[in-house]
Amino acid sequence: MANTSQAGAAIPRMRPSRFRLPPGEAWRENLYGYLFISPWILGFVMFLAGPLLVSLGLMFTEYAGFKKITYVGLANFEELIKFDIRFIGSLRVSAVFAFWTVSLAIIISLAMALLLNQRFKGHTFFRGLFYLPAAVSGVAMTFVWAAMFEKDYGMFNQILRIFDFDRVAWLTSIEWALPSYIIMRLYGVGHYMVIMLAGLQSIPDDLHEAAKVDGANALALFRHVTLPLLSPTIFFLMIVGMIGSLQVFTEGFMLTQGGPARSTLFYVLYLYIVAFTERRFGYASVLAWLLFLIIMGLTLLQFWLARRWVHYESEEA
Amino acid sequence: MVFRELSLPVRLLFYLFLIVAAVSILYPLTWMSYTSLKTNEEVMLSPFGLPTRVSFENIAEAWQTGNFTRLYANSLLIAIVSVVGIITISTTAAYGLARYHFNGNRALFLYFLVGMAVPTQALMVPSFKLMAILDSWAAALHLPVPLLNSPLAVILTYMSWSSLAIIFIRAYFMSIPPELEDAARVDGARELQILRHVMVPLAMPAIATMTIFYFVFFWNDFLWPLIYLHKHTLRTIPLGIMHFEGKYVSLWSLQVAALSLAAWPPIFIYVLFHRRIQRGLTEGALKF
Repeated sequence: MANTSQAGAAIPRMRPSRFRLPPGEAWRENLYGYLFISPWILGFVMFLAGPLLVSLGLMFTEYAGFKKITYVGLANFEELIKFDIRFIGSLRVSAVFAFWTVSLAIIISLAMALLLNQRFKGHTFFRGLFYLPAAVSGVAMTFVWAAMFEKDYGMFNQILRIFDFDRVAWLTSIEWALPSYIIMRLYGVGHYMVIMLAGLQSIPDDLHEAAKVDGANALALFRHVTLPLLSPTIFFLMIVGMIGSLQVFTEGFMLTQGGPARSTLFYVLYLYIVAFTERRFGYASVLAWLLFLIIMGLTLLQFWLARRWVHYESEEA
Repeated sequence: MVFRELSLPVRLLFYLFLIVAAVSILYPLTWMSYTSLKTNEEVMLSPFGLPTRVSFENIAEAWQTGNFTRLYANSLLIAIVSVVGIITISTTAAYGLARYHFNGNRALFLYFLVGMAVPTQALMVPSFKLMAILDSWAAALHLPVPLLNSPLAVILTYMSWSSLAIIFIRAYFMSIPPELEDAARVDGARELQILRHVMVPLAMPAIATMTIFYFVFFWNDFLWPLIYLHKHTLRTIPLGIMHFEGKYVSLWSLQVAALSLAAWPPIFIYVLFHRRIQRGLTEGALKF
């Protein structure tokens, strides 16, 4: 490869090359590079990294947001490990929720993607339609679901009544409240489906052809060709789905505030309650950092897996 | 397995299944939409039945009592300013990272990738506190930028979430051949002009995708307005909806009309841009 400075001294040539520039030009690279990224760095340090570090310090304090701030050493950690039943409960609720939503979403989206991967008339229409709910998530959807789950007139109980089942206290009973949220979350399964479909379409056709020539039937084809080649996509969805469902807050805050009997006390909801209802900023920071570490761990795992599986086309690194 | 080779009954069954799935997926949204177009009596008589005639009385009343003009204005202000800010910051940063070989480029990029992994909810306490501190500094310096109970607090927080856009736009920039910039440079264009007049137009697909993504995300976000905005005049649509639903519990038809007012804009955006949104989703997934 030609030396990057050959075009002339006045024209800074910036290639994603790994060659060092002559000393006379390196400063320009640095200057422009730093100028371009400076607004981002400033915002990042002030409103993301900064607060994260502040809460690192707050972990060792008792603080209600007013003047008085007391250093309490490791008392917050001790409370977390030894005494806090709500913490253990919320961790469990979030883990159960994440497990079921992610595994069901992957199974359903895989089935949907396999169907939509057939080249039939209108497959783009159906794909667009199945993704729609994922695009309209949020507060309005949450209340629509609350109406669906309503005990007397809600759609679900109306359907149950048609088939002569007893009606279910969806959001108001300990057994059914968390499953209700899982159903609600699965409504956004179109998000998984779109990515799953892209994964399916990236599998080269000739592999299927070759397997068929070798006499593989549809089931063997799926099990030995499609599924292994799809595994990076499935792992990606698993991790991203886990990260997403650990961060659930809005639905729980709106509809049940953690009840009944803390059966829907999601982790982030508990964090919010400790911080802004009970105003225990120090203890909330411990909870926040734990959340950060869990999600960071999952993300690093994802990057690591992506490095092993995904081939970058524009970048050699 | 080629679809056309299947027998007719199998194909019909296939379509039947898809249609059933489509109807049940669409049901909650259509129920919401048509219920808000029903008259009160009809809602009382058959809460889940179809309307016999279209009436905008509930929509109009929800708009009035919920003060939706203000809610829309607040939500639009926050979403638009945040998106413009985040796209500007991310595009310049992505360009710097993609094209300039400055010291520490790679390390910085990896380091700030970490920004993606920070669950923003973990920051609610210190961010809330930070805004209070910045607010008191601004007040001491007599600067007219209130940060307590101010949309600016929400906007600044949102604007720091640029990691996703940077990764996405940077990857796009890197796929553009550098010869185009060189040509502009030979013609005497300055660095910022190259970004503005050469790179940004070329990277428009990526920029547009990120714009839509972030806009819908900010439009729907509930937690941060909840943390920062405590005056009812500042409420965004999600906050307004929450209070509205709490206040008119017995007025079912009015409630549903308010939900429609909140949900229609993202539906509309999706219907307009669904191809781009889906493409962005898959590209994003495959690139990381």
